[in-house]
Amino acid sequence: MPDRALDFDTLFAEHSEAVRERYATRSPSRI
Amino acid sequence: LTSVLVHSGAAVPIFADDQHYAFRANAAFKSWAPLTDVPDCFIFFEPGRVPILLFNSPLDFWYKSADPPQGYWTRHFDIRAVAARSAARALLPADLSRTAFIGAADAEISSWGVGSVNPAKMVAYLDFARAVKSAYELACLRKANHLGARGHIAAARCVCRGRHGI
Repeated sequence: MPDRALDFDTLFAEHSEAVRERYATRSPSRI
Repeated sequence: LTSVLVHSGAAVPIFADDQHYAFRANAAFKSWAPLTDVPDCFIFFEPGRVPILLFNSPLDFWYKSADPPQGYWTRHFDIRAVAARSAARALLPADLSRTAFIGAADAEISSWGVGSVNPAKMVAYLDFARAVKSAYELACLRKANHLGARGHIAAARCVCRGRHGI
């Protein structure tokens, strides 16, 4: 099993999407 | 509010000196990008669009600017180098009245006409969300601790061998 913890490219892509979603769904539109 | 502007922070000058205290980007900025040591960078985000990263790269005779960011994360941003805050402002929409600013707004930034500075509900929501780490953040923590542990082990070995220099 590959060490997914070191696949920063994939991990950051998921993180970045989550951060953008965090801002888009709650802020600033619903404030 | 329809967009957000996140500031990495400003370098704090030492009184009566030509140097600054060590800079640390603020947490709200770091949750966007692993750009931890460059003051006066901005991320401008409108939902549904690629976030813009205004990367501070001043032309200076005495100080070397930070190298343009590279790495796995840069493809997620529209990165534009700016030589000064005024250049950053010029690349932002003229009307920021529907933009929330997150960061420590000094007098200059306060004059940019942002609609809201650190709106309390928004900041509380974002702070709460940061308490739960993403898989990426956990991987960063593990890697950092792995590196830190190597340092601790090396230091412990030196002490055991009497090389502590005390």
